[in-house]
Amino acid sequence: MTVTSTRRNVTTLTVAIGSAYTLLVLTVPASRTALENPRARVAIETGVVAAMSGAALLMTLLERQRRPSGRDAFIAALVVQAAVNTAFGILPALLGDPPGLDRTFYPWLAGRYVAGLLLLAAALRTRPAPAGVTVVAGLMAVVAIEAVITVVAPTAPLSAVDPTAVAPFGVAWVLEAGPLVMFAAGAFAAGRYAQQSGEPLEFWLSLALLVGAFTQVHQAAFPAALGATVTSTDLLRAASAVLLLGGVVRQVVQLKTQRDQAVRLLQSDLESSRHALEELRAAREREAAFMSVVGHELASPIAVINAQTHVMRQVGPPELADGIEAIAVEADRLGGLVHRMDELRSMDDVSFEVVLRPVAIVPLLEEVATFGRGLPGTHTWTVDADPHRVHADPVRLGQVLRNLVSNASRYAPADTTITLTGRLRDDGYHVLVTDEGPGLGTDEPEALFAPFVRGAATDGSPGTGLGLHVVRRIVDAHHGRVEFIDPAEPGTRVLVVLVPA
Amino acid sequence: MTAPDVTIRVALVEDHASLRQALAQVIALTPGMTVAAELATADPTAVEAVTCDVAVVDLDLPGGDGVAVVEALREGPNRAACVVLTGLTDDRELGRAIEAGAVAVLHKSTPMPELLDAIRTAAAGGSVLPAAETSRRLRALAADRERRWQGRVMAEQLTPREQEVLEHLVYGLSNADIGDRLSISTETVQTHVRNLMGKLGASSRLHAVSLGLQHGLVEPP
Repeated sequence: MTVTSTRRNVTTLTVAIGSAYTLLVLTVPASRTALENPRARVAIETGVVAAMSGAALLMTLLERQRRPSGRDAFIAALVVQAAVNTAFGILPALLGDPPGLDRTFYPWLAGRYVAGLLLLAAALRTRPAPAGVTVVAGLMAVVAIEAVITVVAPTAPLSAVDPTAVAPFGVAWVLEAGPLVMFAAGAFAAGRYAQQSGEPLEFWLSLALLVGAFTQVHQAAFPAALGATVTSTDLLRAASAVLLLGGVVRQVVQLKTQRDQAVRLLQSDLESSRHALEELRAAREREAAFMSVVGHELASPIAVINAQTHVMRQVGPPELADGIEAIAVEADRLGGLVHRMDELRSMDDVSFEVVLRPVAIVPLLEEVATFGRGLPGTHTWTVDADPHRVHADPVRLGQVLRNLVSNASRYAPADTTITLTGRLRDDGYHVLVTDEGPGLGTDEPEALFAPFVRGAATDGSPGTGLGLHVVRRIVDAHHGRVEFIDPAEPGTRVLVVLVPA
Repeated sequence: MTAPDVTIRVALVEDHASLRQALAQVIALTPGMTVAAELATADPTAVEAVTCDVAVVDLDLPGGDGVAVVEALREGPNRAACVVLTGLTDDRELGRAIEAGAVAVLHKSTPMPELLDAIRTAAAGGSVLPAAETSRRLRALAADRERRWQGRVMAEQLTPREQEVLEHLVYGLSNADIGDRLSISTETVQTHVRNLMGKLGASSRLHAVSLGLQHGLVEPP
């Protein structure tokens, strides 16, 4: 059975028992008196005050332990109720002056109004003021009402019909209707919040307020007060207080469970990230060692292939010329791969350093364009750059730009223009390499910066799939960024953003 | 096409037989070059016997160090120019070769025309060392030397007993454990540890171990 359905059943049960009991008391007034014992009054009030103070104390501790949840109104309601019950229910009895019905009727009513307001605020999760301020305001309201009632003669005549109740009078229904409405509305609001959030406190608060609403019906039918006889009103009140305490206890238990769970999760998270890190480090070390070995072991075979193709080009039979060229191209690509792998490996070395200093960008771009003009291909190279200095390692940045223009010249059709632009912008110096080639034809250009990844339109063209990865690493070391602009459009635009000097 | 006036005599020092033979073929086919010698090892007597204008030298040789071959050839009667052709990429190794007098340092994946150009330049007394790479390699070599030198200086300061204690510290042993193994009292070990920490300028036992490993005073466990 789920928590929600259990809660719904408990709520239904509470309403059923409350209704049945109220109906019984209304139809058989004699059933209303529970105990005829002055000591019982003190006992029950002490119980109620203890439950409420306990709940308020726990709740305060809870609020101090974690981010305030805005339950100040709840705490204030408990404190005000406990104070009123102590002042008008317990103290007079202990001082040998048990309170009469007429003397306690109005203070107690006032206390219920204030508590009703505060509990409604708590159920609506509004935060009128910090708990302390709210308590003081609530108590002052009770005292003020008491003072007014003492000075001005009570509007409703109170006369005891028997030891348990004052004579019912018309306005009593109106007076009791106020707290009734507040308790009922509070029960509804708290119930809804509990359903949404799953918080135990609000669920138990809604039950307590439901019981409180029934109490008001009893109270209206038989206006009573903190007299010597314990009645159905008092029993319901005690039940309500116990429910409030129960809610707070459940809340504390849930918080503790949640905290234990969070701690366990955190511990397992830490453990697994530690493992992941260790594995990552080991993998990187293996990768570096592997690349080093492969690079070294491949060097001699590549040299042999280079040398033999060189020989065959000159003395080989003409019918093998195409095949020899194919071998030469592949050997060249293999050589490039070994070279790049070594570059990549050296970046993980401690000795890899990028020494940044102010570098004039225009001469560097001109130099790179000159390099581009020397590449195979009949492209027109243009440079259009704002003169400025950037923080760069000229050797490394040159490597980056030469890589980018090599790519451009490799993929752009013959007789098109490749442009290097440089613009000083707010977020840095933008170097843009633009070609009129087919473009990347991808929506995920970031993948191209990963090692050993090559673009879709690159079949048959040389390249190692490491160039852009190296570019990214070097630009990162420049505290800059490199990215493709509008990757899905035709033409490739690579943007390198550098830090202006 | 005019024939070159002088034929360049090229020696090949390379242990990888198929590469050496292929290079020999390339040289033989190139107008103006001839293979003067083929060596598979760094054997000093064999190196001394070589007469050539340019030597293509691998650094990773059995029976010796390629750098020593470069030195020997540079100082030999022919003052042969050395082109290093290697699969090594460690900047310090390449820096040593440059320091020994190599006029070109090429990776083995270099295309043949480039290698032949380098041989021609070397024969003409020129150098094809790129400035930026060369300075980086020499700096790496210098930094490495500096580290080793510091290590030697430190090692000389330690007494043999302190050296022993440091070796045991690497294994994370306590003073009492070290005392047991060296048959000395825990207090004596403590004194040695304090002294060696002072000499190394270490702020803790762990720091002493880290410095010892960094400067090669002790082997990693």
